[in-house]
Amino acid sequence: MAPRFIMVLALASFAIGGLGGYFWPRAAEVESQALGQRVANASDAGADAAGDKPTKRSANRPAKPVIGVDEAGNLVLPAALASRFQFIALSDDKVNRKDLRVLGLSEATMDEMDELICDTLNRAGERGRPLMEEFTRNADEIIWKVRGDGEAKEEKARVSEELRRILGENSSEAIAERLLGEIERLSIPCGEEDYFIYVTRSPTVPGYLSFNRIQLTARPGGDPLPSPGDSFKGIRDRYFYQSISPSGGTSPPVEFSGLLEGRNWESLLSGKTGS
Amino acid sequence: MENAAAPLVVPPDVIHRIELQLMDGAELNRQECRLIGMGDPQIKSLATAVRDCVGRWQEREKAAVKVIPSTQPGLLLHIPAADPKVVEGEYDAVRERVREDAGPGLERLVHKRLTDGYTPQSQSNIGTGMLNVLTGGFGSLERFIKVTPAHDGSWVYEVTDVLPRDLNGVAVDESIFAKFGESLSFDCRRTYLSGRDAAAVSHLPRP
Repeated sequence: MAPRFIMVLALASFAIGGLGGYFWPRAAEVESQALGQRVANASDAGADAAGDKPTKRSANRPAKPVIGVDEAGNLVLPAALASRFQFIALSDDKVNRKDLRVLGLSEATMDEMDELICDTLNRAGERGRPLMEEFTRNADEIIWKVRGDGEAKEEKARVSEELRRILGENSSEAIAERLLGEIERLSIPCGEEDYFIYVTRSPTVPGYLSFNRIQLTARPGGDPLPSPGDSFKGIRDRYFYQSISPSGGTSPPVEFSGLLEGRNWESLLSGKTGS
Repeated sequence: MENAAAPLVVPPDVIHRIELQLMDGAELNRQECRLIGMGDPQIKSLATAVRDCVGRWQEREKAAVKVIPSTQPGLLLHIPAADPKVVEGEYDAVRERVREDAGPGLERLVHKRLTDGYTPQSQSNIGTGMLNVLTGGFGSLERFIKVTPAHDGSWVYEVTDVLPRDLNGVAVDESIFAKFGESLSFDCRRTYLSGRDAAAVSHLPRP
């Protein structure tokens, strides 16, 4: 940690150099300083603070304190760097406590988030079930079509609001956006657009199934979208194809469980088909 | 969004989790250095060190590259690992520049995104510093390159880096390329295009 006087000189130098357009996070609340660039900058800063006119030396300006340090010694990342910070927000249908703890979230906050995720998934299942109709069933694949609906937007806004309430006012937008994106991905049954749930036998692992959510768009001048009863084999080559978090195994991933309950997807495992 | 400007507060020991593209082709990416708050003199100093290191790496590869006789169209190349002493020297020199130019607060982050990775002493695949990856651990890895024609008339350079100890005893001929990922494990594989990624492959022979 640099001694306090260096910090003061550094700040004085920035004041002279001008702060135009420069983002300083919560400058009034956090005691901040430039990271690194210790000794060389301190001498530059000293020269400027002593009243020198801006010279060639200030053209070689010292580092901007883009990353600040708060009173507790934590790093304060401005928005441009916050969005680059790598962390895993969710692990299955729970928050990833290890990473979110690093970001300063309390256990109580994370408990609340887990509840929010659980409620959102339950609601997604309840809302998705009536929107879901069987599309195709054959020996190797079962497909349901899930209609998009207008309530999806409201649902997302609700989850977003609730999430931000839980996170509180001081939380970073980077955390909120990442969490919201991952919750949305989990609960896509509340989608605004039609999509397909595609369960098929794994082509590579015997006894395994692949669970997939797929959105198809016709190619200009290409095939019309599939009709009920059509196989999805080779669709990647025929349509614009978007797959959302595919997953393999012998049972559906957590985000499918509410929707596939009682839908007889198990018949694919045994090779039998039926309704 | 009301919280758009709220910063992210994290402990200092996780600074290396900030994602940065510290190389732009074969050059230090000055914009990214500025983004994390490095000063111009420091960026200039580090950029010079990177350029010198890349220049020496290209010269070394040019001198060491061997063509593997092949029955297929294209070209097969092998660049043996450099002398460990040379590699350590290269690594230490750049590492020292990172230490000084990034300063104590940013050193860990810049090292992680630029120099971290293979050296003769560190044979684990934890680090993925961009300069380390570009230069095959500053020359500490055995490098195999398959050059094939691309659709647009340029050449595809598929670069496979292998730990010297994994190569132990395996005959270096055309057949080795089929063994990667099968009987022979490799560390890292990247694909460059001769036009788009000239910085990474322009010093190497063309078919």
